[in-house]
Amino acid sequence: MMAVTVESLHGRVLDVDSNEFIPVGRWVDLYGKRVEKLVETSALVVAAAGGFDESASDSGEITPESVWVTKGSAAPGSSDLDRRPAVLDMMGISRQLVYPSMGLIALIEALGGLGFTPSTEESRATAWAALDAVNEWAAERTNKCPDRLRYVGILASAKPGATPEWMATETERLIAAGLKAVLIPTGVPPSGLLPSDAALDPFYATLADAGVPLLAHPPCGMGYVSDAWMRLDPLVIGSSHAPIENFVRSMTLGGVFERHPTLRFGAIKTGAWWIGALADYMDFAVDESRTVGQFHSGGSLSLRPSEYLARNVRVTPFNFEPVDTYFERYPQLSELYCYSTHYPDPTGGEWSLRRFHEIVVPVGDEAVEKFFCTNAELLLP
Amino acid sequence: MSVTQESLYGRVLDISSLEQMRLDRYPEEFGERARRSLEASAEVFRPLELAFGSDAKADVPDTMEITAETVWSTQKYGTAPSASDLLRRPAVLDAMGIHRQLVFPVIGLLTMQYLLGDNAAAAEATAEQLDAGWEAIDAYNEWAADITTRCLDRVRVVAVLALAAKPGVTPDALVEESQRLISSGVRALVIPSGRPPAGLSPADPALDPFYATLAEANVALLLRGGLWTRYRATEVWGDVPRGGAFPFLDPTFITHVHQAEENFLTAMVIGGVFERHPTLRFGIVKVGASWIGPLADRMDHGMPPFMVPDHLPLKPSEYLSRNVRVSVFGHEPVDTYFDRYPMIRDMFCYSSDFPAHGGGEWSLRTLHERLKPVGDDVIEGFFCRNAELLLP
Repeated sequence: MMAVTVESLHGRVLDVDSNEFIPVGRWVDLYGKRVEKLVETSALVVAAAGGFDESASDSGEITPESVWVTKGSAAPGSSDLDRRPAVLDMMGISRQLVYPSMGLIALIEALGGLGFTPSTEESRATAWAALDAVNEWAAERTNKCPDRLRYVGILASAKPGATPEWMATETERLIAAGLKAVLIPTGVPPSGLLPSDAALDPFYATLADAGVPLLAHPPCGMGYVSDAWMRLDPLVIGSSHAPIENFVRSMTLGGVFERHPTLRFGAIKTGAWWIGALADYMDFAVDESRTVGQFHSGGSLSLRPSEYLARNVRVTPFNFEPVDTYFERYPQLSELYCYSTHYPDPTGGEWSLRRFHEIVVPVGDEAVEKFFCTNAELLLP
Repeated sequence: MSVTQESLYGRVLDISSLEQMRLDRYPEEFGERARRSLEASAEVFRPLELAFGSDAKADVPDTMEITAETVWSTQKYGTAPSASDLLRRPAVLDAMGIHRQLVFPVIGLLTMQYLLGDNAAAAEATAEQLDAGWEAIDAYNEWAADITTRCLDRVRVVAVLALAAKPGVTPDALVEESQRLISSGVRALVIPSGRPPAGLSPADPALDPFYATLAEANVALLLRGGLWTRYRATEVWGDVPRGGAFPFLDPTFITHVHQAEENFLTAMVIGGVFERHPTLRFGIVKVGASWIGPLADRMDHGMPPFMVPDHLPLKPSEYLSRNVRVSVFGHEPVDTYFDRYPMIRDMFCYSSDFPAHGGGEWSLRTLHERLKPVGDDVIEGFFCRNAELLLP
């Protein structure tokens, strides 16, 4: 008998992907003069992102319809973050990761801009500087309501001059300020190194020791594909998951999770279709009974790659993906898949919890419980 | 179960093998143009020596006895029978039970890499090296056409269309060169996957005359692992400690291996190339097949409501099934692919990788054992029927 109903999940759901939609006109008031230039240089990017309605006021009633159907700046709790806990109460969500929209737009600028509006050296410098303001704001917001809302800080690991030592020191500073989640660009080698480079171990140790997850979320993958392809396919339809697949592969086979067994890593808003195939392939590639020599891990890994993924990594499927199939096809990865709302971004769709519940319920209660509640504990401890 | 290994004998199609010619035979086989290229760019070919040891330079004739043991197990690379002397390859195929085979060129692939600046050992190639390289490509393609013409029913040596990624090349030039190669006798062409062909999206209608030329001539267009350079913005991702038996291989092979090809193929399918060219024959080899099922699923589903692939009369997986074939690595769980992705069961093809080590030993036996549980029709398709698209 099916016991884990939508109603029984109410109040226990963890959500690893939401946003704020603070109108651009309020950015300078909120983040200070450091973002003045960003407001000018990122106007086209903001327009392309959509959802920012300068005339919308965050004063609408908090109802099931308004939290599950209304999108963008018109949604309750989209810009008045003091109202977000009440929104979560209405949605039945216990705790939520919030990605700062201004920070993500700054990251687009910092990583080169969109194809139709490439950034300049000056605008990139402006964008990197704006991230400091975002991180201060995110820490302040997290400190106000740490049990419910965790605002994600952004580590400028792709910033010119970034070093492994700086990454560790900056992460320590962000955590000391109150941040409980840190995002890292995955399309550009962190401080010019492979993710598995041992020089990054102090950085990973800082996160692992503090129980703070390391996260990837679009536009983190920018910069991975060469300019020639980006010009032809600016929406990276052919390669949207390629950067995160590459990053997770490097961390796993390069021994990062072996050396840092308590590290928490989340691949957010990049879908989940790729992770099962990657897990299978890595498992077979290091299986010395099956392969011919060139892929062996050299005995440096004590677990199978899929076991590191289950222990250390989480991913978020989109609500049009056949998540039920993933649970059935890859039972060894049943700990990976996590629910996310994208609230209030339109990409989350309407009534996403109900929709996902319908998809996962055929797999059984245990899968439902994992998907909505327990799996995401790794990223929202 | 009636499709035994024995019953496959003489009917198997093999979509990936190599010539593994020793360096000192290049001038003899490919002529003066190859000798000049070899001398001008010795550093490019040095990895061959690293990989194959003394075999790469051993001055011994290709006289190894052709037995089941030497073709499936004991001999690899330059010492394997017919590694250099492709006119002995039909006899090798007889011993392997293979009816017809695609042969990829070591010299052609390496030369193409350095011509495009994609070989780290020759990133700063001089004008003299480049001139010599382009001439070597021509020499190689003439050799490929000659072997193919002489062994048409058994051995199809793949021509290298390096021009596809040459800076400044036009779609018209691609058509012209393709027509010339086809006229000379080649039946399959390989192009780089890491760079946009002629600087265009693979789906650009400007490339339609190129695709039409191939489709009308029943000539297969191929992508092959190792030609993905420049897909990623930086190759720092591959800067990992080398080791093991293959010190020159990029260990990021494990994931990078299919990304450029996946990107290329996605553009072709979603961009309607196979709708406009329903008889185009397209193959992707030596990158494994772990990715193709998830890609088929992803393209069929689309990203509703933002992107739904309903602009084409067929589902993406139907184009894949009709027009595209992939090879699998010997260690892959290909049996699970047939279970999980029945809609693209016609895509998966056997390849021996002969005489390279990557194919493993007794690969036909190993894969036959693995596929037994899936059934006769799958075995028949995997070893014989599916590859007819690339080896008509």
